Amino acid sequence: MNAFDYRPDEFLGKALREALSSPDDVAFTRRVMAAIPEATGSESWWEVLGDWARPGVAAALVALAAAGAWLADRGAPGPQVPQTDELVAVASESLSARSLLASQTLPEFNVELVLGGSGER
Amino acid sequence: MTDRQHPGPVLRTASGEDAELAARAGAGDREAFGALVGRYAGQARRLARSILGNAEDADDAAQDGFLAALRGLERYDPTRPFGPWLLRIVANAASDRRRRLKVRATEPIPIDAVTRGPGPDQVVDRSAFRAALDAALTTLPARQRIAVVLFDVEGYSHREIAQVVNVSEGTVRSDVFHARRALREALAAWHGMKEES
Repeated sequence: MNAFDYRPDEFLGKALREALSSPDDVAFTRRVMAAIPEATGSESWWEVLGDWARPGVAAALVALAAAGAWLADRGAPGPQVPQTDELVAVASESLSARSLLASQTLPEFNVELVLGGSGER
Repeated sequence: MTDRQHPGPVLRTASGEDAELAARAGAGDREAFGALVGRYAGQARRLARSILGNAEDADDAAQDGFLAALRGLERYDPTRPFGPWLLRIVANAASDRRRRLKVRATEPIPIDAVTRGPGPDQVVDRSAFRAALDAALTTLPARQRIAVVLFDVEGYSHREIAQVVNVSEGTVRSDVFHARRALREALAAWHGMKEES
């Protein structure tokens, strides 16, 4: 056989095959199949959510820890001074405008002071 | 002399079966695609290795080629053989990788480099021969390597190889001729060295 021969060179072919072949085509096939989802972007929704779950949980834990630390740093709250709005709200709960109009008795003086003191109602 | 479209030394799969598997794979049948990968894994890996020169890069390139083929299955013409279509994609993937890696595959290696290194008396003959052939292969231009591997190893016809490398059949014949001559010379030099030692 010479180099012009149009038949395959069995000796050269066998030698080249031996030189170029890598072992375990089955493992290679598995590797290719495992790479398909990433290559084609064909992951199912639950696979995608699964991928997100771990970083999501980690981020939530970090946020919780940060919020806990921030709350702890605030310390105990001081004595609360009642605000006018709160007083009005309390008064309004016990003595609404409707009840004042419908009442047969005069309103109590301290309630009038509170309502008048708000200056806008 | 006429081109004998030989069946090749390797058993070739029926193109009808390949076309059917390709159609199923294109419709999302992973098992069918797995069957195609299994059938062509050896050919694709050898072709990629002949272009890149080492097994690791070759497997990466072969994988890139298979995945590119999967993404492009709608462009495959089922009336034509699947092998050359796939191997063209693999060859392109390997060539792209070689460019990226700046592998010195196209730089001619001095012929005496083939016989440098540990002598035949220091290594097992089989692996030394394999190394010599591997080294001789790297002295060839990439297209000649592809041509000789697809013709003499995988049993593709000149026409099919012409489709893979996108040149005329005459060019493929010329490539096979030059590649064979260079490889035989290199191997003869190796045998000569071995007999002298």
